[in-house]
Amino acid sequence: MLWIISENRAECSTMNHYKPGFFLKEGFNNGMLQHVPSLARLTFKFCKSHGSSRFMREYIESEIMDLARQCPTAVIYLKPRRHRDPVVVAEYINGHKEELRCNPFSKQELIRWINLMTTTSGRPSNQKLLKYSATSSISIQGPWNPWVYKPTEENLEELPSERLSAAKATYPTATERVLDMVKTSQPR
Amino acid sequence: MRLTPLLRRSLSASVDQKLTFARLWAVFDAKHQNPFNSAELIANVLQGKDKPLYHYHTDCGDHVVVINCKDISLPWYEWKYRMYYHHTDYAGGASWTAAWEMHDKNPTKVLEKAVYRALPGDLTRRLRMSRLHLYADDSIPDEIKENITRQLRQLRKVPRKLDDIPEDERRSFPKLFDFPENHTL
Repeated sequence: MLWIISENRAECSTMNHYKPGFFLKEGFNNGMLQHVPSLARLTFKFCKSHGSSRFMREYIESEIMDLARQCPTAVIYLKPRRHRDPVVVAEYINGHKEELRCNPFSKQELIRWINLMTTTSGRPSNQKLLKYSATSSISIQGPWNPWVYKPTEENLEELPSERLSAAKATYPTATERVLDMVKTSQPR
Repeated sequence: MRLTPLLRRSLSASVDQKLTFARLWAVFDAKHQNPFNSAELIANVLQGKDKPLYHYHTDCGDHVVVINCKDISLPWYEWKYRMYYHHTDYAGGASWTAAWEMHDKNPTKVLEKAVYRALPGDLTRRLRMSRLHLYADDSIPDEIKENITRQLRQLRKVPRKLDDIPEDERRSFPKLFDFPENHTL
């Protein structure tokens, strides 16, 4: 699912002011007619000699070719950095960038984390989604205003008006029913 | 500045925005209406709750002009038994005023207090009350009357008194039964 983040970020209304919320720029329509892969680039930073990058090196030796075949639209970079901790950086087409330090991960954990990063929509997990609906097209009927659906003959009425003020009857009164019965019955 | 389609769209959008949030002036006829039921209706209009764009952070309420406040109708014996409490903060300063007494002194007071009570008790309460215009009879000042664009429908039907019904209509009403000869009225 594709999440496109708008530029204007609104603050949360009640609590957690340190945690900015965001609005979707587009709706949840990725995958409805066509699917646009959300992952743009995956960067592996690791050390070729240090022990902390041991499982990352194992992963690269055995799994990286399968990963490249699985995500043909994403670019995969390998950046050897001497005596640095292993890090995976995922960049998505909506501009979101996720960094994950992989020092304590075993190879199996690494496989599962990278599977998450390749399949996710790229929604920032530390931000609150304020509204679950969005559209890119302008409304055809236009925004509501107080005169929408108002009967036009009321415009000619001089206010205050008896006709517009009178309560609407839900059922006929006893007097009206008597008059109706007399009208419909046979004359004697 | 050149009038591009984008600029034209944004200009019309700002006009649409003003139109959407236009503050209307509504008129309500309190004749023979229960003030406490009417107060709920009026409070909803003052808050803008009858609009589809209502939001509790948005100041979208309408003005309400109420006429014929002197002709409100209280249920049961409430004119006698509804008490308005006041305390002057001095010892023995408590007083209870019956609704009929309050109505004699100020014919708009019962409805005003009912609407005040129906509104939510937050900081916007006084602001919304300032948009309520109460009149004892059906005469509205011209500067208020020229704003009115909306009529609120009454909640109850105003009954016709016998004196209001014309003589010929009274005579033409069908006779439903005859009293027996020995019936004493």
